[in-house]
Amino acid sequence: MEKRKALSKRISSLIAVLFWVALWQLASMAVGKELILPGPLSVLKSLWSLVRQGSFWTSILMTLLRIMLGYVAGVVLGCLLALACCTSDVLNSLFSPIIRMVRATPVASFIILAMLWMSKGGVPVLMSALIVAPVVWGNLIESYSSRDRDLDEMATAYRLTRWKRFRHVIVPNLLPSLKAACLTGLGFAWKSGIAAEVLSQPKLAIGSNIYYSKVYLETPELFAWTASVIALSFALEILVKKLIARRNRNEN
Amino acid sequence: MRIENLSFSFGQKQILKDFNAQSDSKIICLMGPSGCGKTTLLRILAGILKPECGTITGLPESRSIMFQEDRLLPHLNARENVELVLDGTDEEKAKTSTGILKQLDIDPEMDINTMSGGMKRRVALARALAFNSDALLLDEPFKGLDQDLMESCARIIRETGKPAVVSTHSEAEAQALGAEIIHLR
Repeated sequence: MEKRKALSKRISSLIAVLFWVALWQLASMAVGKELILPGPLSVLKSLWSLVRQGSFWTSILMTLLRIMLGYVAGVVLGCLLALACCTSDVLNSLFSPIIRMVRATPVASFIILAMLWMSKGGVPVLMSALIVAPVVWGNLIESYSSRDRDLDEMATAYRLTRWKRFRHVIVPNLLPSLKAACLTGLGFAWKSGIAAEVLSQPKLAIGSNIYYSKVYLETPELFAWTASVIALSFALEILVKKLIARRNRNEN
Repeated sequence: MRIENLSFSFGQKQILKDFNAQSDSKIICLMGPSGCGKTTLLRILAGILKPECGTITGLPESRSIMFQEDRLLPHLNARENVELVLDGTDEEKAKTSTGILKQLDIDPEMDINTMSGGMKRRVALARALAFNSDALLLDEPFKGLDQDLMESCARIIRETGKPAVVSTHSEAEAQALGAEIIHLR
């Protein structure tokens, strides 16, 4: 029964993908100009020619490294800021406005500023971190403020040490929010990192290649690079979900 | 224990007004209809709530409270929930927690999430009993327990020899504890 259900779900997904690819093909035929909207076959050809080049894989690896470095730094920074804001009202008053400001500032403004301040390769790292940290901070702060006050009262009544309270009462309460923030942040890191690469054009980067494809009017190649970004983003999301699921299994 | 002119209100709602009580009994049961202030009084005795006025004398300084809700940590098993409130070496903590849980007929390694309401209640009771204190404040400790379990838990509470204030709706529970009853209205 379960197997049939899974098979039917896969078939539905395949039909949905085929439907959108067919629609893409029809739209491309209707437009009739590869420069405006290349068809799926043409994009696939471009992708095939790209994957046979060593620079394609180096670009992917370098982009992956930059974005993951920024993502991890953003998660760590977000956790540290949340910890500071939750434990001290003074630190909360100090950091909250600046984090809210960072969250509200358009990513393009930060990219332009960062291009003045640092090397081209550092811009995507900083952007990913700057986008992810407020997401993690916001989720953790929200979760902390809506925590179970009964457990707080229990911890006080039984005179739990600060460490025990943090380790056993606060952290387990925050973990689901942290996991959700990690997943949401991954998508944001990826988008902001690629945007930063497009604007700052570091050597060996997916974003730079997207920019060059646009400049040289190689639209099928632009689509091919974009397709590889989407594929990588999905792969990373699956990886993070699996890591979280494995951690959940270990906890149980 | 002696309580004199104790008053407490939540906002506009007066819960206790000039409440007086005195008892020389080691175990006292607070009885009365729902909403009469039993839990509030226990929380005042525990030092969680501050009364508007009144005095409480004759209650030991260090008190252990069992809340009306179990307030157990779901990611810890029964033994770990009890050990959390203990001091000492890991070995000492394990010995104390395992001993008291077995007395209450609970498997120390059992997952809290798979326990019945009555089992969780006994883990919460075990935690209150194991905590290093000179008096017990127990808010409906036998909720969800059958007659036999209630009687064996009452016996264990009596055997600790600690003074206790227990809130309950049942005269049978007060009798099992050998307690003096104070009625709240």
